[in-house]
Amino acid sequence: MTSFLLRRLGASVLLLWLVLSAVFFIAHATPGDPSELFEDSRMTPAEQANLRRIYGLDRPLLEQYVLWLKAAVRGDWGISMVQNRPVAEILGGAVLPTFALATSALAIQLGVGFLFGVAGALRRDRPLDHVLRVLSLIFFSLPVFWLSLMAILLFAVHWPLFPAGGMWSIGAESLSPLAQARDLLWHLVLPASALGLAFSGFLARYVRSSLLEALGQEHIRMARARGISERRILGIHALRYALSPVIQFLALAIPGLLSGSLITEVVFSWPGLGRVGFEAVIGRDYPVILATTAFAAILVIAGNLAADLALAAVDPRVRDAQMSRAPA
Amino acid sequence: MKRAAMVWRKMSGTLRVGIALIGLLGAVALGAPWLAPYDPNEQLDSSAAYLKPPGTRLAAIRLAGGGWLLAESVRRTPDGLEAIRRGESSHFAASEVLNLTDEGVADSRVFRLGSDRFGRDLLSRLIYGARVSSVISLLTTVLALTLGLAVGSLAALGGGVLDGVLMRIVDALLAFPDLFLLVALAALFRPSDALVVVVLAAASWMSVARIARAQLLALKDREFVLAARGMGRGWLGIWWDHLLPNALGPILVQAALLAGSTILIEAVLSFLGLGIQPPRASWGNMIAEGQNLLSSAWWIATFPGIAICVAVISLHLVGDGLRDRFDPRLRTTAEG
Repeated sequence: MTSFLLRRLGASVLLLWLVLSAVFFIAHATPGDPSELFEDSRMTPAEQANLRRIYGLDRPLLEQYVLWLKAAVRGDWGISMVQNRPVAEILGGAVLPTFALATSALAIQLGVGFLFGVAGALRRDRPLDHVLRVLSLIFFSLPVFWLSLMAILLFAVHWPLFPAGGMWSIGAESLSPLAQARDLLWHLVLPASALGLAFSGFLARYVRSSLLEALGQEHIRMARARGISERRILGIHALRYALSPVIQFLALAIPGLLSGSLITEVVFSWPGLGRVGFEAVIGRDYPVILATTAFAAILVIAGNLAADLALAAVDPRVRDAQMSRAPA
Repeated sequence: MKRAAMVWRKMSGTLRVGIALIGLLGAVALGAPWLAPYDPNEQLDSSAAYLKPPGTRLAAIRLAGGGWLLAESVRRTPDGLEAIRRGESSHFAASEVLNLTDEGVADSRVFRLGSDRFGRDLLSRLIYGARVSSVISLLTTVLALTLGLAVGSLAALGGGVLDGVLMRIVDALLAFPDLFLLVALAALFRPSDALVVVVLAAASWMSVARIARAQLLALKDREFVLAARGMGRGWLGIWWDHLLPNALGPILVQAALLAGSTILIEAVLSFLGLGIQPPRASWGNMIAEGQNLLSSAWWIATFPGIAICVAVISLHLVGDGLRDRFDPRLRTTAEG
């Protein structure tokens, strides 16, 4: 198990380095040079040169790359060119909101996805199954941003049940912790539901087909023959068998969830990573663009690693196969 | 013709519905100039046609001095025309109006799906938006398919180090949350249609590469390939004659799904202001225009979203139908 873990960890670090390098070179290969931002007629050439020097833009690209990478590893992501604050501080403030949004969305996705998937598999080819399959298809064909807008239109504008955006009500700082939590949840309902529902469709299909495959296996027929109750078969034998493809699927879904939260955050003015990244892109705030993209990639890679480990824990076949394979 | 009818009869219901819907979308895109009731960018009396709800009919008064005015209602008076414009009554002499009839005026404008804040007809914009979505989706899919096939084939046939390097690149790109990458790329370059296609294709060829590689790896040691090798054929010929036709099924399935997700992502980019630029209509930028008018004009953001859904659903139906047709067991493996 340890060698398996180490190998996966090594591969993840390598992948991370590749991603970071790609981000750096893509950002620097694009035509708009960040130093153009300093070509302001209100500054003297000497001041402009000084700014370039401060941001290290006067050095050769390769040197900039090495410096950036070194600093990034230490957790120093530079200083935002627009907000004039350390990037790490900006990102640090955005992590929690994104985490709150993504986990609540994931909870909704899992709930709806499993409910639909299991119900569909158990009622295979009956009316309920057809209805659920059509619903799943609609869910995953919906543009998330449109679903978000429709949620706002219906539940914030037409029936003002929930706030149309933001994370806190005005004056929430002065509330008691319990009231603050309630306020946060109240603001979370619409964005998390929009994001979670949009992504639940794919999961529902996946759960359904994995479960159907599992229910067709020999050991399930064996269990039935032994007179084990259907509920027990489903709960223990089939669901566990169906779990590993679902975990794999979830790891692949993390990039989608992050991308989805970018749009949801922009639509709902949610102060998370996606919105920080989007605003940085609009304002051409290079250090922030680099950092958010890299950070998003780190989250994805970490998610993949976690999924691999979870998979190995759930499914002994994976563990054995991974360990006996020649080092990649 | 007979053959086509036979193929159609053998298709599953899913596939038929999907293909019919895509055919419809393509027909709308191709026939946009004939199908759209008005010019999608025409702003005829935009102050009177400002944010009209679906189904609004306005009388169109053709002025002798050139140009048109729109009015909620018109009434013929003995010496000319009485018009209610934006709630206010105004009077036109008979000589001022060119299209006068006994009841009022001969022309009218109907906003079947409502109008936007420039008084443009939403239905016409929606129809022209279908052009943008289908062209971008088609080009992107072709580009991503070509790139993915090339990389996947190189990896499978090259093997060894080449395979390792190419697949690590694929892994690295898949690790990107694609939207972060797309938004960054789209914002760093000047927006243009070509950029949208290139950026979308750059973010979506990896799944094709993976599937192509897996398919070719499974095929390349089969007897018929070995036989062709033994007869002295080169890899390029074998690839074209034997490998590609046999690997095509799952790749086509992926292409259909890709075309669907491309429509979605193009809409997102345009919605964020990084894709198709206004005033040209695309479903994404129409929704963006409706975003700030949700409380006063719900129809602007609503209808383009429905159009996107229908387009994406039909492509997914085609993908599903093709998948079941090629191999029902592929259902779990083609996801990877």
